[in-house]
Amino acid sequence: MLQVSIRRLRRQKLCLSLIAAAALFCAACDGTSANAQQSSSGPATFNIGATFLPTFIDPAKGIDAIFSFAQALTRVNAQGQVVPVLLVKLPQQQATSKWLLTLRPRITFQDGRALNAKTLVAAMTREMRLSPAAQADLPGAFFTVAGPLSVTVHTRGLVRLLPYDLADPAFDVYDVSAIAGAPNGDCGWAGRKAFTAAYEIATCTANSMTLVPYAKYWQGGPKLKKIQITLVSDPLAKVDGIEAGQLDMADSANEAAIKDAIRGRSNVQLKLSPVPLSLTRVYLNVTRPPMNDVMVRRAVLQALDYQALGTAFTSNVGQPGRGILPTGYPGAVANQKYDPAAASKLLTADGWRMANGTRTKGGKQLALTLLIYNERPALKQLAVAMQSELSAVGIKVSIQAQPFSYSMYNTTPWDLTLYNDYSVGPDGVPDSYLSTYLGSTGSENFGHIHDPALDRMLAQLVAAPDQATRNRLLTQIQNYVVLTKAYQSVVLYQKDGALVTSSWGCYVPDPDAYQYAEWNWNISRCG
Amino acid sequence: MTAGTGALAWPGGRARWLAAKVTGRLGQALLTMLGASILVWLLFAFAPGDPAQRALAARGILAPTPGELASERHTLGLGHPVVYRYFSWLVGALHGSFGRSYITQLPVATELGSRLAPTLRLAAMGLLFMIVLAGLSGMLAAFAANRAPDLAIRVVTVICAATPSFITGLFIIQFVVIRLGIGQALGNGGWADAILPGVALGLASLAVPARVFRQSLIDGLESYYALVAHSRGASKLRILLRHAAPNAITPFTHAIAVAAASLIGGTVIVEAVFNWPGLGSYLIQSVQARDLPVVQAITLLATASYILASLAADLISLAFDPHARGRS
Repeated sequence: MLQVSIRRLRRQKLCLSLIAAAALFCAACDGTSANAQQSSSGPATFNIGATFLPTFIDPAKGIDAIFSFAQALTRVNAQGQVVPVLLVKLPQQQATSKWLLTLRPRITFQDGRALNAKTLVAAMTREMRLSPAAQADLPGAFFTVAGPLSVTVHTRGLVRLLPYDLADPAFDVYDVSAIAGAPNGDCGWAGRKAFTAAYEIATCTANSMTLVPYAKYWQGGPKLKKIQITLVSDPLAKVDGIEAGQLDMADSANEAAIKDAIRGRSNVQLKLSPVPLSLTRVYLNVTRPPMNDVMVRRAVLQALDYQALGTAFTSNVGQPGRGILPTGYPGAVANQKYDPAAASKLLTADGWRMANGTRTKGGKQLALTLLIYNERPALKQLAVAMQSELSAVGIKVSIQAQPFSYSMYNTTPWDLTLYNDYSVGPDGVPDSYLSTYLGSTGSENFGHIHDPALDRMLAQLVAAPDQATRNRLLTQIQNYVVLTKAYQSVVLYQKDGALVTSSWGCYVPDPDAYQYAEWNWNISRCG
Repeated sequence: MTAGTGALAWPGGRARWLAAKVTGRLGQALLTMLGASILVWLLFAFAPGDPAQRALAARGILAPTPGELASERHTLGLGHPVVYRYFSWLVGALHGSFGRSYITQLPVATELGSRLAPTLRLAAMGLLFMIVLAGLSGMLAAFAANRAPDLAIRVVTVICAATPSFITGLFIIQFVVIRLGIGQALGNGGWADAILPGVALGLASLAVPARVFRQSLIDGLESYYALVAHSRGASKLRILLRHAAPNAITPFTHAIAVAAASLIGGTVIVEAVFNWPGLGSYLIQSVQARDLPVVQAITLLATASYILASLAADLISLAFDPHARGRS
C-alpha cells in the first residue's frame, strides 16, 4: 500500500516537472530572438558575413572584396559623381596629358608615416608596374613629385575620365615601405598597417578577417571597436547568422533562396540597391577550339534565352541581360537576341552536322565545358538552364564547379564561364571597366581576347572628348563585342542585396557601398 | 579452489596478459588499416575509365590529345607496376602527402590542413555527446525497465535515429540559438562552438548504443549474481552500477564503435548546417568536381578514424573485462 502511494507520488512529481518545463520553454518562445534583442542594444563589434574574403590584399593583384581597409585618391558617390578622398580637390588638368594631384595635409598611414608626394609616387609607380587594372585604366602613365603634397600624372594622350579612374581600387594608396618584406600569400599584408583607412587589418585567415580602428585616422577616431568579417557562403547560413545576432550584415543576399527563407522571420531584412549593381556575365574562351570559331560563338550567344535566364531561372531576383551595359545606362545598346533558329543555321553553315542530338564536325563533337564557382550556388541553376538551351541547338555542355580562386585565376581550360561582377566599374563609369574585361591587357580578360581593333576602340573611348563621341564609341564597341565577334554577353543584371538586422535597417546598398565606403567614415548604428 | 581463467591463468600474471592483449589488438588495427588502405587505393585506381583522362577531365580537358594523355600518365606514374604505385602512395600518405588536387594542383595535404582540425573537434564533441547521452539514457531505461521512463526513452531514441542530423541541426539553430540565444549559428571551428553541432551529431547516432546498453544492463539485473546481491540487501541502483554496468561496458563500447562510423559520416552534413569550416563542405565540392585525390584522402582519413574508434573500444573493453581481473 505504501509502495503504491510512493509510486503515485513520484508519477505526480514527474508530471508537474514536465508541465513546469513546458511552461518555461513556451515563455522563451515569445517570437523574438533573444540574441536580436541583445544586438539592438549596441555591440561594439560590427559583424559581417561575406561570400568572399579578399583573395589578395595587395591592390596590384586586384582586391576583389572590399572592406574599407584601403582608400583611393577619389571615389564615386551614390549620385555617380566623382569626389576627392585623399586629395584636397579633384585632379586639375594642366595639359592634354598632364594632371595635377594635390593631397590633403596631415594624412598618415596606419604605420604612422606621412602620406606625401614621395610616398604617393612610390605607391602609384608600383601599381603602374604591377597592376594590370591600373595599366588598363591609364596605359603608359607615370607619376612624378611636383611639390611636398603635389604629384603630376603624365598620361599617354588625353584621358578625359582620369578623376574616375583614380577611384579604382587598383589605385588604392599604401605605404610601400610598410609592405617591404611582407610574406607572400593572400594574407601577407595583414598587420603591416600599410593603408590610410579608418580600420586596419589585425588578423587574416582563410575564413575570417578582423579589422581594428586606426586611432589617428585623418577623419577622426572610428566609432566601431572592431569589424569582424567571417566567410559565410551558404545563403541560409547567412539568414541564421543574422537572426541569431551573430552577424549584423551579410552581403550578396539578393538570391531566391534567401528571399524564401526570410519570409516571416523576425529581425532579418533584405535591403536592395536602387539600381542593378551586379551582373552575371558569360565569358567565352576565344583561344580554345571550338570557341575560337566566331560562328560557333555567335551561335552560342544566340541560343541563350536571356529572358528566361534572367527571370524564371533566377526567380526574378533581377532583370534579363539585353546588352553588355545595363539597360537605361547612357549609350547602352540592347543587342542580345535569343534566336535558336539562327543559331542552328550558323552551326550548319559552319559544317556542324547534327548526329544523335549533338553536332559533329570532322569526327569531333561540339562539346563545351561550362565553368562555375562554388561560392555562388545560384550559378548552378543558370548553368543547368544554359546547358538545356544549348543542347536544343545540338551543343553538348558539361558543367564544372570549382572554388572561385582557382576558376578564374588559373589556367584551367574551359569554354564558357559564368561570372558575377559589378555592372559598372569601381570608378562609376564603364569606360575603363570595359578595358578591364575586354582589353588585351585587362586584368579580368578571362576570355583571353586579343583584338587590336577592339583595343583601339577602347583607347579611343577613354580619350573621347565629348559625350556624343563617347556614346558613338560605346555603341560601336557593344555591337562589335556581341554581334560581330560574339566575345561575351550578360545574362542577368541584379540589384545588390544585403541582409541586415533591424538595427541596420537604414542601410542601402548603393554605388558608394560598392566600396563599402561608409565603413571608412565613422559608421555607427543607423536604426 | 581452481586457478580460474583469464589473467591469473596467464604466465606472468595480469600485466603480461594485458600487454599481450593490447599488442594483439594494436597489431589487428594496423593490419586492418593496411587492408583498408589497399581497398581505398584500389577503388580509386581501378574506377571505371582511364585515370589520366579522369584527371584531365576534372581540369576541363574533355577531349585530350594523345600528347596530353601521355604527359598526364607520366605525371600520375601510371607506367609503373600496380604494387609500386600503391606503395609509393602509401609511403606518401604515411608522410602526410596525398598527391595533388586535380583541380587546384596544390598538395592535397595543404588543402586539408586548415580544415582537418575543426572536423576532428566536431567529431570528438559528437562522440562525447553520443557516449554520455546513450550511457545515461540506457541506464535510466534499464533502471525503470518496462515502465513509463523506459518507454519514453525508447520512443525518444527511435525519433533520434529516424531524424537526419541536418534536421536536428536546423532545429537546434532555430530553437536553441535563435529563440533561446544560446550558442552560435555559425561555428568558428573551436571547441566552444562545437558543442551544439556536437549535440546534433550525437543525437543522430545514439539510438543503437543506448538500446544495446539498456539490454545489457537488464541482462545484468536479471542475472544470478544480481539475484545473490539482492538477497544480501543490495539496492537496485547499487546492483546496476556495481555489478551490471561493468559487464555491460563491453557490448556498449562495441556499439559505440559501430555508431562512430555513421557519426563520422554525419559530420559532413552538420558542417554544412552550422557553416563549420571543416572537411565536410570541401568533400562535397571535391565529389562534385571529381577531384579524386582529395576524395581518396578524406576517405582514407575517415576509415582510419573508424579503425581508431574500434581500437579504442577494444582497449576500453579490455580494461573492464572481468577476465583481466582473474574472474571467469
